[in-house]
Amino acid sequence: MLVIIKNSPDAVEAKRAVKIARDMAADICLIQNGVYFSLKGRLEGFCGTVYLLDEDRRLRGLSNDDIEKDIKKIDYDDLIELIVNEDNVIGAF
Amino acid sequence: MITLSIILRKPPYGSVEASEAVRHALGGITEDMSVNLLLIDGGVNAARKGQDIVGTDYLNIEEGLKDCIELGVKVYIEKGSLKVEDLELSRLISGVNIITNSELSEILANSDVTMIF
Repeated sequence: MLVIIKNSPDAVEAKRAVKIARDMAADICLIQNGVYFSLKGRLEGFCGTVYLLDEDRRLRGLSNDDIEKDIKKIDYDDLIELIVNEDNVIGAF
Repeated sequence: MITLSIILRKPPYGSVEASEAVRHALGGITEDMSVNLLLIDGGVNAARKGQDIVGTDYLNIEEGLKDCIELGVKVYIEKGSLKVEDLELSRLISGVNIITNSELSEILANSDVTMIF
């Protein structure tokens, strides 16, 4: 299962999305302002896989040093692949 | 002289707020107003160095802020929001002013018009 997040961490929708992903043991995909969740310490204790749309990270000036190490950076084609192959996709919060 | 204050609360690129705030700040300064651009909450990310728009059609907000500063817009960043956003001073463009929340209130109290984005 995949939860797509487009709002920044201070948005209610985004906080709810992370909670849903946690509760359902889902993976997360961060796009647009959701990429700010990739900053160190923002997703503490989240066990699923976190995907990050790299163009949106680069656009906002988040350097590789700013973000968590084990986050998987993807491009648009990868994003489409993820959405097509996942059995259940929810988003974008 | 009219004092125009513009508050930007949203991070850049996720929505039109940041580019609209920059556009109105530039508009105000060219109309001979005194313009304050106040970045709070996620809006502080607009002053982050290293925004890379290559391959996209976006207006570079970092460059827009630099143009504002160059033309005389006073750009302020609220200290508390920097902390919440984990944004260090070294990662900010130069020419911005770091202020406290009470200083921000004072600026607004002395403004003729305040726009919020």
